[in-house]
Amino acid sequence: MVTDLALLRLLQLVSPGLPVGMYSYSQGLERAVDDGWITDAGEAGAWLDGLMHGGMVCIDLPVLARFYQAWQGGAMEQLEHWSRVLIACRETAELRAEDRQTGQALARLLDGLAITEMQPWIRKPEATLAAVFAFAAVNWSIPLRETAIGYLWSWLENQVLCAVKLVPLGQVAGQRLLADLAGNIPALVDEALTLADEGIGGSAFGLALASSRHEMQYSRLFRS
Amino acid sequence: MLADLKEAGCASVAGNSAQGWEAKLALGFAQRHGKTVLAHRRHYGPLTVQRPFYPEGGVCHVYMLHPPGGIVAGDHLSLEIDAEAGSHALITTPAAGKFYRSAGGLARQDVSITVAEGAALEWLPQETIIYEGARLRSTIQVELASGARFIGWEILSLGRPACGERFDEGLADLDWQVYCRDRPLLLERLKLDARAFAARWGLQGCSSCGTLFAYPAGAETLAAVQQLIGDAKGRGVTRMDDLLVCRALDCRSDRLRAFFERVWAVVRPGCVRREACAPRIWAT
Repeated sequence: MVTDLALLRLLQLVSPGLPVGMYSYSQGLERAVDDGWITDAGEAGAWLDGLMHGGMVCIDLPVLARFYQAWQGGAMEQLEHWSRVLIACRETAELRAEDRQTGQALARLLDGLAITEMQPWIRKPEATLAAVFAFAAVNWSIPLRETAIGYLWSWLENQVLCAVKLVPLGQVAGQRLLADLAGNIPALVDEALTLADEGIGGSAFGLALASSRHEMQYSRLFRS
Repeated sequence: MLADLKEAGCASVAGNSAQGWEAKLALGFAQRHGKTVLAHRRHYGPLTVQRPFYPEGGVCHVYMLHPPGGIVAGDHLSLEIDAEAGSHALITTPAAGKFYRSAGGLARQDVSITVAEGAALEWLPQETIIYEGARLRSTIQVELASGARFIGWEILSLGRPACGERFDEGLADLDWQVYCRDRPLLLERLKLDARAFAARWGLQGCSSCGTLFAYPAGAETLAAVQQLIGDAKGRGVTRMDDLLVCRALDCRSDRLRAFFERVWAVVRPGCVRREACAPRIWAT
């Protein structure tokens, strides 16, 4: 059961207004559009749906849950282990840089909110968004399930906003896409939270290819 | 789960051997008097190597053979390669590998590559053809010591496009793990099924995909591969902590392999300090 205050903290944490710069990362979507792989709302939806199933459920969310438990139990070795695993699962330099930059930015923000434990993470090369996000959730007593739902929602909303700018899509089409895909979140979170350690890992070949091609894209708006 | 699949496969497919082939091969390379020798070799079942040869001085070239010519459900191949300090070996195959259609059983392949300090290993098998309906689990684990050098690739051809065959059923579960000094450098688990085959985030309906790894690779090597790629579609390259990863999608595996041979020629001098010397078998 999530308390009113925990819910409010979660809303703050997943807001697109959170100053960690998420809006500047498209995670390969910019190149996928540029290469003509995504031309309309249907193709954008299929791309995001695939990444939710293949990446978020098999990598981000189960690792987020392990970070959460590690912060709760003060298990620093587990934290280091899963940080390395998560970084190694990122398939391109840009995706790794994005994770480090947003993780460090969130640590800096939390430090600014007088959560001083995050101070060392501002410069930690192993910082990832999920590790710091999990810390904030534990700190604000947001239950694990809500934390995972919020993390996935915030990723999805950012990706849909990227698609609206890039494809481009109309505002209503974007909101429709968000509403449709968000409907899958509860089931995806169920699946992710029951995944055993050996089931963790994934790869989306098209995403890895798009992201590595983005690194040499001549003209671009986004940092990933 | 794994056991269930295996039993189902064994019970219902007459053509597949009830037991499956079990084959193991262990190779150890060592540096002796200025050249790399195959210092030890143990094998069990139908997996072996030809006598090594030396087309470029001290580098040991080895062709790996799998006489049955293809892998079916129930088969389990395992391979251990150990490159001792200072050695340099190149391993390839004389023909494409094949995973045949399965009625439910799983075929397995495990490759473990350990590269010691100052050693170089090149793992460059010809492409692997995965027939529509094949079910397989493959794990390739590479362990690099400090100062180790490695180039490896995996080239897959799904279905047989020449016969109009796609990959509308089957599952290829492919795990690549690269560790450097006991820490994970790259963990990739590619699960290819009909959905991933067709999707934009997957293989986009292309019958061939490939990944090439090179370690260590500097910024200038990355720039050289980017230049080689230029405006070509379906090719990408990145570099993470000195590990270069080049990926490609193509509707023809021969074209993809030719591209990877060019990438190999570009990365080889910086990575393993040798100019490219293509195994003659690649040209046949």
